Amino acid sequence: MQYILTNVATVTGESSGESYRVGRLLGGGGQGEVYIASGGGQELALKWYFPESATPAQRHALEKLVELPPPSPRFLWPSELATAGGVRSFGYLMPLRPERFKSLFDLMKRRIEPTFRTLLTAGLALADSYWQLHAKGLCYCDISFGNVFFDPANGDVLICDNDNVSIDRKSDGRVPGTPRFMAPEVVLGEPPSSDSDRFSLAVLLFYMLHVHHPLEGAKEHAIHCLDMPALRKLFGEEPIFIFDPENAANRPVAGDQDNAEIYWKIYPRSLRELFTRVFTRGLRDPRDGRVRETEWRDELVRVRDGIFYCANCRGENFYQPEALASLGPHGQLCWSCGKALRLPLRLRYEDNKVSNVVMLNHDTRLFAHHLVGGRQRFDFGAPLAEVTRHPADASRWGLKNLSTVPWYFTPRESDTTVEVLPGRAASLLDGARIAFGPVVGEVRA
Amino acid sequence: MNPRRPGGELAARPLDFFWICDRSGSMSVDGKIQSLNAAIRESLPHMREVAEQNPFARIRVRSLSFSHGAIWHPAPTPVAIEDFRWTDLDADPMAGGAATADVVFLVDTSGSMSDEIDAVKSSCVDFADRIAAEGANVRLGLVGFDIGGHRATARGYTVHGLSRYTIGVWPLSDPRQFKSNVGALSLGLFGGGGCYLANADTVDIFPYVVQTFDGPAEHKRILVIVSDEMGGSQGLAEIVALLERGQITAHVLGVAGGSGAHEEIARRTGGSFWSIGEVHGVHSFAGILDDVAGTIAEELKRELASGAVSLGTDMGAALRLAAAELRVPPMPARALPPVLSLVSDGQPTDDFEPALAELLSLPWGKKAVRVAIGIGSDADLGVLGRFIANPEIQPLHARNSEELTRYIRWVSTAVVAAASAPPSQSRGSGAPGNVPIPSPPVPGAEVGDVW
Repeated sequence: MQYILTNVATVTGESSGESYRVGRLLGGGGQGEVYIASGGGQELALKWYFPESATPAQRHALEKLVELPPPSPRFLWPSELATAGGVRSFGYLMPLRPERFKSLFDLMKRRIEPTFRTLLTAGLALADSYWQLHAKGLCYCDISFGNVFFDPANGDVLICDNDNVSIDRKSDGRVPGTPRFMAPEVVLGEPPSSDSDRFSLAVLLFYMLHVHHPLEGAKEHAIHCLDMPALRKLFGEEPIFIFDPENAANRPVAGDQDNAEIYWKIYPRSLRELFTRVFTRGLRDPRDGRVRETEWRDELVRVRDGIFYCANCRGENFYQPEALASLGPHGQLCWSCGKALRLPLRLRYEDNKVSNVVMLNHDTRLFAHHLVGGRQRFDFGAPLAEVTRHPADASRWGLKNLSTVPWYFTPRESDTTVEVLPGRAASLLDGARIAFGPVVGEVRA
Repeated sequence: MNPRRPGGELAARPLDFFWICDRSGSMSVDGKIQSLNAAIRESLPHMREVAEQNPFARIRVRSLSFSHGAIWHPAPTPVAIEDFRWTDLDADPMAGGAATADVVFLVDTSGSMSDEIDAVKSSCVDFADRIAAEGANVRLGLVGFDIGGHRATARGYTVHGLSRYTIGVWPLSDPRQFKSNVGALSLGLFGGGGCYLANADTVDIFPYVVQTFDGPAEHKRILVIVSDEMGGSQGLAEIVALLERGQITAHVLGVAGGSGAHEEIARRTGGSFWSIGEVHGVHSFAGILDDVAGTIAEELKRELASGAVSLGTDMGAALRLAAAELRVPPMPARALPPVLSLVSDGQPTDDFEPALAELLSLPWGKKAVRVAIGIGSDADLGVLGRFIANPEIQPLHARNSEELTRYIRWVSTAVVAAASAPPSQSRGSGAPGNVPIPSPPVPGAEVGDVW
């Protein structure tokens, strides 16, 4: 922390000409410091560069960024450059991050305890956000703990520090990234790109879901002094996935690296396979070996839909079709209490010829990406259906229509179809079929 | 409530941070020590913030200071940054007179010692006066020992029956009080049997000797051993180790030759040896005690000095203390690079180079991130540069309290962050060492209270 703007009262927005009063210091990083700034009737965040980081290249990059619209509202995008009279260096203004958003440092230190569902919601929102950034031909260059925030109550995310965003494959490598998050080829000297972003995203997701780094196993444990040469070796020269199915040389060490093993067993195989791909083939094949953002998005939604609760301890568990096939309906045990799990009713539906299964828990809500089909955008703000109890008979469960169109409900082996108007609920009975529109679901016990 | 997700915090490694601060006499001038205390206090919340943003590191802090000798503040045990509190440093006074020498006599009370005992009893006040004349306060204590068991009613001293010996301990007190205390000391008080330093069975006397030095660590600790019989040297190594750990210098009035144990105890703890084999009579023994007092006084004079000269800037002693903590153990085998931060306004007055070589010979010493801040125009930036031992990193030069505050903050935030989890680095920045050190703050143009 240098308090570079301590003695500066105001800065001037370069395009608006607005004068902003400099408030308190919010935090500092490797390149500069962030202050509160107020002016034009609003409070904003002001990032100010250390003199050595305030390069003409940085200024040029920012001038381009402020002209672009944010890829999505989840990006706290630079709105304009700022300068101050008599002060070397410059900065930029961006929206302030509301208090409810917490950092991933808090998650790693267990200062916040979100549910699995919230974490998966945040993960898929991140994958979706970076996809939107990449779709515009941009790359982020420094995906890491320090610039991602999420609301532990609902999984909303915000992405900060967008000043390093570059045109994909035209990055000048101003900031190659943050150790532990950098792709191996970037550690070894390549400039960052959307390919390396995809590696960093996978590391971030692995951290969020396992509270551990995917490459820190026995190799890390054997190192006495974890300094830069050691980091370069672990993450650049000789990276090995801790769960590489074909190379057991870097398994987590019991006692010191327990988190990875604990979580790895809990998640469904399909998710483990994505991580395995990106951290084996993807280590060496940046272009084609890495998991695409849309693949993460679809998989994280699938895992989220597979959450159900242990009847004994209410722990969140994951639907594992392969466990069901090999161990039978009660073969899967709760990770928390160890009791045999019982699957709840679930809704099976096809969308785009892909079969999907959603657990119908007491609190399940369904959204456009479930019921409308055709790859709808994810919007967890507007549920179209929710599981509900019959008002007169607590033992009967139904699916309430929260949409604006009627559904059509057909009991098992019946030819009679009943209309379910908005606001009404269809009974959840094994074998019943509900036509939500183009998507038709079947209730399974 | 659903059960909490399983597992614990992210696995983290310890990162040990050392403040190594000069508190020699010159630091008392122009409010330097106050500025240093203020700057470190001011930096702590920022260091905690860095820790919060750092799930990879468990940051632990220690601090030590040096002037005449070096001591830990308050202990060498590392303290988690969340719990660390800064204890303000006091600079040594510029003039002599405030230091205290604690002197304990370890006296053989076996049959042949009557002259020596009477001389100690009669001349202890003169002995103390002689030392005090050089500007130090003196406190005196006594441990008597022989074999056979205590033969009186203990008054003013505590008796301990050990594996073979019986000892009596008179606590440290001012010379006049001491003189009345030792009235009870007499020949054969603890049995009268022969006393054979440094046989193995004499080792268990020394923990009591060390304990008798109950003053603060900055008191100069001097042991005067008086014995006219000598044993083997089986217990020698342990005795010397106990005295070294207690930072005690032993002067020995004993027997030359034989196993050489008496001379060795003196030599290896930095003291002197007097042979008492040829000396007879209270008067001639009192003469030797006068010599001993003179020797101690000379040493204190050298170290305490007087007038406007500092009491010493024992940077080497400080590095030795730090080096002891960088061995494994107490350092764990797996950690992040430690950070050693040296702050000084002068030049070392002791054997700095061998101490530095010792530090740099340790694996963790070599791996440590070493930074240094020189305060004011007398700071020896060359010495600080040798401590850093990396041509890419220059010592920082604080010319006023504002610069000192900025540098201290930089060390406790940017450097700590770089050592634990390097932040996003711009290409080409940072040194090629094992930890990329970010650029330090640029000194401001305004120079206020110049040192």
